[in-house]
Order: sequence, then C-alpha cells, then structure tokens
Amino acid sequence: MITDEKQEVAKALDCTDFVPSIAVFHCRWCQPDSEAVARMLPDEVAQRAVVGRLNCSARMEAEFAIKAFGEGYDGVLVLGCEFGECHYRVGNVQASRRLDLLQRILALAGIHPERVGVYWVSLFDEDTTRRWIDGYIESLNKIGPFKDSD
Amino acid sequence: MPDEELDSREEQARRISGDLLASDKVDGVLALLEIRDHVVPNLFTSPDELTGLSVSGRYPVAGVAERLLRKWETGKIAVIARGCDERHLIEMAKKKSVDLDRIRIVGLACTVDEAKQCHCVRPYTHEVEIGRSVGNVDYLDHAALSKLLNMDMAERRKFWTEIFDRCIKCYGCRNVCPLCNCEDCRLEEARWVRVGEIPPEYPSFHLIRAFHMADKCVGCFACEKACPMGIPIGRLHQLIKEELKSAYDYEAGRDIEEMSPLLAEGLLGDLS
Amino acid sequence: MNYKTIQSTCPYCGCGCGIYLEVVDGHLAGTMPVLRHPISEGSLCIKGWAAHEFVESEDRLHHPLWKRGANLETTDWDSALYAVADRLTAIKQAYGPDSIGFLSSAKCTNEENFVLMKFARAVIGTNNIDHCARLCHSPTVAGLARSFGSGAMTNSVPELEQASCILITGSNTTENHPVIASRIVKAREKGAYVIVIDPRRIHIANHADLFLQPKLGTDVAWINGMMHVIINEGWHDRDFIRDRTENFEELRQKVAEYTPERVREITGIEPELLRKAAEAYATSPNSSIVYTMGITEHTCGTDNVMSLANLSMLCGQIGKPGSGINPLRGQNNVQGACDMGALPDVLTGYQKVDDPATLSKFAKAWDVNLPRGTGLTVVEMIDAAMDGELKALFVMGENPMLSDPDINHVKEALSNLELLVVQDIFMNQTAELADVVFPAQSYAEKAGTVTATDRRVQRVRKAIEGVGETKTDWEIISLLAERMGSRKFAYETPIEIFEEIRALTPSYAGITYFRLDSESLQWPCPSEDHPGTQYLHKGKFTRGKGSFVAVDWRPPFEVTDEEYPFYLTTGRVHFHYHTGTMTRRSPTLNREMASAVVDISPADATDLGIKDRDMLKVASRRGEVKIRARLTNSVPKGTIFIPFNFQESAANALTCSARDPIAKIPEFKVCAVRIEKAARR
Repeated sequence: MITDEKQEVAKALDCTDFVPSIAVFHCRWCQPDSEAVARMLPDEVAQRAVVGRLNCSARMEAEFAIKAFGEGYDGVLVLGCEFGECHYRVGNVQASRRLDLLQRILALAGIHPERVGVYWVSLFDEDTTRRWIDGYIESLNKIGPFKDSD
Repeated sequence: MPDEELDSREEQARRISGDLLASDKVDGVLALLEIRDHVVPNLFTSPDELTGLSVSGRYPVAGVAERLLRKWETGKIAVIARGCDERHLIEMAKKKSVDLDRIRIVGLACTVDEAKQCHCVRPYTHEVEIGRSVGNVDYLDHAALSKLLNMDMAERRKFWTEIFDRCIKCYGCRNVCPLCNCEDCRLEEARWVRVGEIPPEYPSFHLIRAFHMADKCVGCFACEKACPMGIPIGRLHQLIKEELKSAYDYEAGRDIEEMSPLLAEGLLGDLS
Repeated sequence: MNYKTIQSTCPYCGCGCGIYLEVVDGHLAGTMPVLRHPISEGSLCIKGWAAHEFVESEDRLHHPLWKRGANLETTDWDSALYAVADRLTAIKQAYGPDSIGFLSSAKCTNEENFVLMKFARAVIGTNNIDHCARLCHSPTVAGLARSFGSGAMTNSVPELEQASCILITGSNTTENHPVIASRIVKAREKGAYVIVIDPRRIHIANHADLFLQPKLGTDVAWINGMMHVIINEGWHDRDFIRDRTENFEELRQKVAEYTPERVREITGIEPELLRKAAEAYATSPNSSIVYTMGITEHTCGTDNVMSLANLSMLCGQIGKPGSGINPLRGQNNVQGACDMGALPDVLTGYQKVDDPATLSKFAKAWDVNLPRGTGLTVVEMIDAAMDGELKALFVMGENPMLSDPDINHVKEALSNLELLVVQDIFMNQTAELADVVFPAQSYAEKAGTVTATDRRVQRVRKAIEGVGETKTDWEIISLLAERMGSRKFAYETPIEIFEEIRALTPSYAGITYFRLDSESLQWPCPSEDHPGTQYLHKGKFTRGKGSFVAVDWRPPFEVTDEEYPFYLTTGRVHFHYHTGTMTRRSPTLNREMASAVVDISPADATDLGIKDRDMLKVASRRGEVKIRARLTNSVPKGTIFIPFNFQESAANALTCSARDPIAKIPEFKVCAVRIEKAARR
C-alpha cells in the first residue's frame, strides 16, 4: 500500500539520497525562457525536472498536477506573474484560486499540499525567486517521495 | 402520520401534473412511475398514466431532464423535483446545459425520513408545491466526516488509497451525477487516466473528478449510492464543498446568479 | 416526445443485476441501476451501464442469410426456414436423429432454451443438446450433484454479507462478478475474514486478509491439505459429519496423506499459511466458499469441486445462512439453460433422460417418444463432426469458434458438417462458416425469464421493437418445428412456454409471470405460495446425506518442458464479455480495452528482454498468436495469462482440449507455451 509512513521513517533515518522529481509550469510572461527557469533549480533537481511553458498561469489545470503525481513526480511547481501584472488581467488570480482548491483537495486525500508549489514571480527579482524555490525543494525533501514502490 | 402525508403528496403531485398536461403548458411531466414495487423515471404525457405517479424513492431526474431537452430541440417539460433535483437544475443552468425556460419545476418537499436517508441539509425546493417543507436540517453524517478530518496526513493517505483501490471503474459515480454531463469526459481520456486498468489509475481518476465536481456538487450523495464497492465518495465531495464555503462562502445550486469562485468572469467583474 | 424506462436484467454476467433500459422515442438511450434490487442495490458495473450500447449496432443481423457458393446472401424467412427444415429432415432420415446436434445458449431466455431442447428431443429425437456450461461449470453440476444431490449455488448472493469468513478460490471476483465482489467487500467491512487462494494475485487479493498463491492446477492438494490440518486439530464438525454425511472414513484416510509438507511440495504454499486458512475457515461461525473457473476448467475440475464440497461438509459450513458452496455462474442465463435441460443427460430441473417416470411425463406432455441414452456434449459434438458422425449442428447464441479449446480443430470440424445453422444477433466467427443464419433478437427486444447464479429467476422485458426482420429465438424454433410437422410449438407468447415449463418442472412449479412482476424467486419453488428457497440443504441434502468423495491430486494434462517452458492460463477481463460479440461493439467498453494483452511477470520479461507493450509471439503445440505484453505482478514467474475475448489474439488457438473425464470440460486453465518477441514489422 502507498502510505506516507515510509516517508516518515526515511525522514527519521535522515536518508539524504532522495532528490525530488518535479514538474515545473511557468507562465511565459513572468519568465519566457524555460532554460532560465531550469537554471533556477538546484542542479540535481534540474537534471530530472520537466519544465513546461504556459501562455498564462491560468492555463495550469489541476489535472497536470494530479497526473504528475500519478506518474511518480514528487512535486509540481507553478510560476506565474505577480497579482496586478497578469497579461490577461486576472489569469493569475484564477490560477491562484484553482491551485488553492487543488491544495485543499490534496490535503483532504492525505497528499501534502506543499507538493504543489505556487509562486508569483516579480520580473525584477530573480534572487528572491531562486530563494523561494530553494525553500520549496527543502519542503519536498522533508516530506519525501510521493510514491512508495509497490 | 407518515403514510397520510405520503398519500396526500401523491395526490397533490398527480393533480398538479394533470393540470399541467391538460392546460398544454408542458409536453410531459418527468417524475417517478411506480411499477411493481419499484419506482422508475418516466415522462408522463397523458393524464391516464398519472395513477402510477409516485413520490417515494429518488432518482436523479435532473440528469434525465437535461438529456431529454438536449435531444428534443423544442418543447417544455415539467419536472417533479426534490430540493437536490432543483439544485442540480440550477447548477446546470449556470453552465447553460439546460434552459430553465424549458423546465417547469414542480417543487417536492422531502419528509424527515427521506432527508435522513440522503444525509440532506436542504430537503426542499425554493417553492414547495407538493408536501410540506421540514426546513433546514442537518442530517450529515458528522461522525464520519469528523473521523476523516481528524486523521493526520498519513492516515488520510492510507484511508483513501486503500479505499480507492476497491474501485472497478464502473463510472457509476459519474453516470448518476446530473452535473457530470460533459460530452468529452476527462476521465475517459487515456491521456489523463490510463485505460483498461482495475483499479483505475490513482490519484488521477478520483481526484480529477473530485476537483471538477468541487464547485458543482450539490451534496445529493447519489454517487455513493451508485458505488458498488462502498467507496464513501460523497463524503469527500462534502468536505470539499465545506472548503469552498469557508473560503468563498460559495454553495453550488443555491442561486443561479451565484457564480463559481473559480471562474474568471466573476473576477473580471470585481476588477472592473 | 417519448421517454420510458423498462425494467430488465443485465445481459452480461451471472450476477443478475437489475437494470432499467431508458427508451427515448423508441430507441435505447441508456441504462440505470435499480435502487431496491436484491442483488445490485442501486449499482452497476461498467458493462451494466453500457448494456444498451450494442443492441442497435449497425452490425446487427437484420435478415436471414444462406450460403450461395462461398458467400452468405440475404434471403427471406420462408425460404430459409424451409431450407433448414428440409435439410434436417433429410439428414435425420439418412443418418438417424443422433447425427444432428444442438448448441443452446446461456444468453437466451429460459423459454428459448426450453423450446430448443424440446425441438431437439421431440422433433428430431436426439439428446445431443448442450451449451457453453460445458466449458465452464459442468464440473460444478456433476461434482455437486454427486456430493449433495444438487449442482447449484447453495446459498444466495445477499447472504455473503452475513458470512464471517469467505474463502475465494479460482475467481477473479472484482473483475468478473463485480457486484458479488461488492458484497464480499461489505462483509469484510463488517468484520468478515476474507481468504483468497489463486495462482494469480488478482485484484480482490488486495482486499483480503489472507492470500495464498498455489501453483497452477494443484487445488486438490491444498484442499486436502486444509482438511488434513482441520482433522488433526479437531476443528471439524463431528456432529454434522455423523448426522448428515457418509464416507467420512475414506476421506479421512485419503487426506491423512496430504501433510502440510507434501502440500508445500506440490503447491508451493507454506504450512503456516495453509494452517491459518484452515483454522479461519473451519472455526468461523459462517464460512462461505466462492469459486469459478479456476476450480472448474481443469482435467480434474470435478475432483476440485468435490474437494470443496468435502471441505464444507467437514466443517459443517453448509445448510445455513452465510455459508455453503457458491459457484458463481458466468452467463446471465447459464443457470437457466441448465435448469431447462439444455444438457445431454437431463431434461428440465435435472430430471434424468433415462428415468422412466420422467420419460413418461414428458412423452405424455409432448405426445412423442423420447430418445434414450445420454447425448453428446459440446466437445464431443466437435469431435463427432470431425469424424463425420455428426452431420448437422444447430447453434443458437453460441460462438464455439472462439470459446472452444483448440479452435483450429473446431474450424476443421465445423467445415466437415453437411449442415451448419447459426441463430444469433451478430455475425461471428462461427456464423461465417454457416449454411444458414437466422437473425435473432437481443434481450432488449423480447420478453422472458432468466435465472441468475443464485437460482434467482427474474424477468427480461421488451424495451424496443426487434430490429430489421429479426424474430425471437423461440419463435424461430417454433416456426421450424411447424415446418417439420410438429403441432406442439403453437406458442403465441413466452408466458405459454413458461406455463409448460412449470407444469413439467417441480422446482419451477411455483414461479409465475405474475409473481415475477413484483419479486425475483429462487428455486426450488414448488408451489405458488412458496416464497422460494434462499439456501439449500437445510436439515438434509438433496440426496439425503452428503457424500464425501476421497480424491487424489493429479497433475494437469500438459506440463511445461524444454520446448514449451511457460504455463499459459486463460480467463476473462472486466471490460469485455466472452467472445466480445456484444462488448466489442460497445464504445464505452471498447475504449477501455480495444485489444488483448498478455500478462507476464516483470522477472520473466527481464529474462526474455521484453518491455511493456512489446509485441510477442506465443506458441503452443496447437497454434500461435501475436499479442502485446503487459508487465504485471499479478502472474507468478513462469506463468502468463491471456484473455480469451479477442478474436485476433485468440487464447483458444493455444489451449488444449484435454478433458475432465466426468464433466468433459476442457483444461482451459493450464497448457504449455513458449514466448518470444515478435519480429518487427
């Protein structure tokens, strides 16, 4: 059975072998270059991450995340524009509500909502973004892998 | 005296249906027909059929109404609707799946027993024409819901993973739900849910549906009744509804003007 | 604007779920579950929800066909009926009645099975009538008849929820009897202890408390082993054995030979697990055994069934609620087809063809002399056709070209016949070989009764008019009988047929269409005020005392060797039904699974360099198929599984026709194959 118990045990044993696999979805307006996005990830994470570009964070669907978890990804990261900066005016607000709901549903189902990371990027502050992403990866490290092998 | 109440509800229903048919205001009345101890959805088109009209038992008739109106381009039908049926119709009207101008809702109030069976909180329609409303009640299974909420993450994960593992992909939950009427259902797309697997792919099958239903579910629990494997899917939907209520004070099926908080339309209105 | 819902019974499996057919303007639009149905309680499986999809398919046969040259051409009813009547008469005269055989249908109604059976015996004068039960539960009928005196499921489906222990063996319940699996899951929620014993780690094993994985074809060994442990520990029910059974001493001596160590050697099951299973089953207040093809489809199928019967009697777990031996019948009306006597050795209600009282009763009712002697079974008819002894075969609603073992042999045999008549709703592999094809009606276009696995008789009702020029099966046979000079087939409605059945069949005598309008009835139901029988063998067995039958394990007919080093086991998948004539024409089901896959263990795949979805060539001594690989942990190393539903990767091109000597069932569950990757296109 798939449980989070093994992950707690792994955490307790201070297993440092785990490198999370994440799927990153970024809006093209906050960061047009997927390579640049990948470079904001720690190296070992970037090696196994997939990065997808969306026309707007509002294009992000819950299915992308849910399916990603089913495929064995440990985290899904969404990068969009800061509120007020959306090219389509309210796309990011819609995405924000949608992802918030997704996180609540995951939590009800026993899946750590922090696996879905949502960050609204300020165009001018790459450093802050990078630091935020580090924090997100750190939280994934703490939670552990999504899937236990059956 | 429940029996007496039931009788007069039947009589009321038949009288109103008879009047509607006679006055030619509607082409048919969608309600339940009692045959041989069973009740089935039926479109009554002539007054002599009305002796079989029953108000006991529940089928999600809103789904039938939507399919019939989609098939027949013109025409108007009356629907004897319980509270949940009306909420279904309101939700569907929001999506423009039904044109409420083509439906004459005949409101049926549920009895206390009926409300209890369905864990209902609002067993009546906006306008009650059959029976007497028992008002707002709370027959939700709070013990069961609390049990789920009191579990920690690991327990919840174990609970839902094991119970979803029973699923045999009958699509019963989706098929009975009147709000699940997309022509291209995501659950049927191999891209999102691998085909031919029992149990269906986890978490895709159940959580994609739970997400889609979040702002549409009116809490009728028909999905749970249709599940052969006893998966308490209605409870999960109920908990999700409570999240939307606490975050946005949103309730599906309450008011046709009440837009889902997930839609951009509502947000644009705010910003302009 | 017309919308109606008609209550009927699902045409797929033997669960017997109630369905409502939705009819919009005279066409089927969908199905709905029946809320207060005793079996399905408001739910359906994906097949039940899609039960309407194939009915109005454009592939339906609309007109009679007959062979002209190499092709089947459309003709009219009169011509087709007279052609068949004339040919049958001629063949009967030239070669005798026993040169003609009949395959009846486990999908057709009781009335239709009765009429075909009557035609075979009263008009042609042969007992050569059989149907696909031969290929699935014939060991059940033969074995339980020997042990208990009655070959039917002893308890009822709803009772499973009352069991405190359920032992499931050789049944992939969630996939093939989903609504029955639902009861098992609910029983477990209430605290029942569920044991699954199967060579494959099937879905329901994930929802069991104990899972044992014996090697293929070793069932008698582990069952004897369980009984060995039970007797040693004193867990057996001495009172029950003393009062209600005979031959215990022979059984005791036999199972003494099956020590846990010997059982491990034969089956691979560890002694502690065997003991755990034995203790749970024997000491629980109400223990049920549930089984299907994994037990029956072997050359020792009858022995397997009698072993289970032994086990239940040993522990007194029979003749009370929530207990018993529960074979889950596959087809929607295979129980009914057996009840109606579409079998070579019995008439209706299992009345034997050679019993003088029975013969006299039927002879009087039908005004004809009845044939004596057991007729040919399905598999024997194929052999006889091959040998040239069977000249004509009438096939109603069956597809032996896909469901029989060793189908290359079947094709040769059928091609050898002088006359092959097929009556069906769709063209299929068998019909393609026919001389005449009669287009019949589906369950949604006719009225009648069907009998579910727990002896439950229910109605099917007409929802739409028959498509094209189709007629009901009973009408076609009646017209044929008339053309051949009989006056005993002047039926106007199915009710008349059912009234005749009741009059001749004590177990059905109390069942009427009127009663079936408001309830389902489980036979035996001897009189109109009898409520039907929920469970059998209360107080005494049908034969009086239950008979222990001491059996020895013997290995399957074909074992692996260097040339064919893998075991092949076959069976069904959830999304399709049998030869796929209905389900592969249902978009909902086809979408889930459009083609076959072979289940292979990851270990074997690695050894052979096979990846998931690779195309493989699987070959046996009988033939070979090309099929895609699906890596799964459900099959043990050394064994593969192929479903038989797909014509283009027909599992039965590989299976062998070795049979159980008593029941004549082929050994679908075990044969030897070799596997290789298919050459790239």
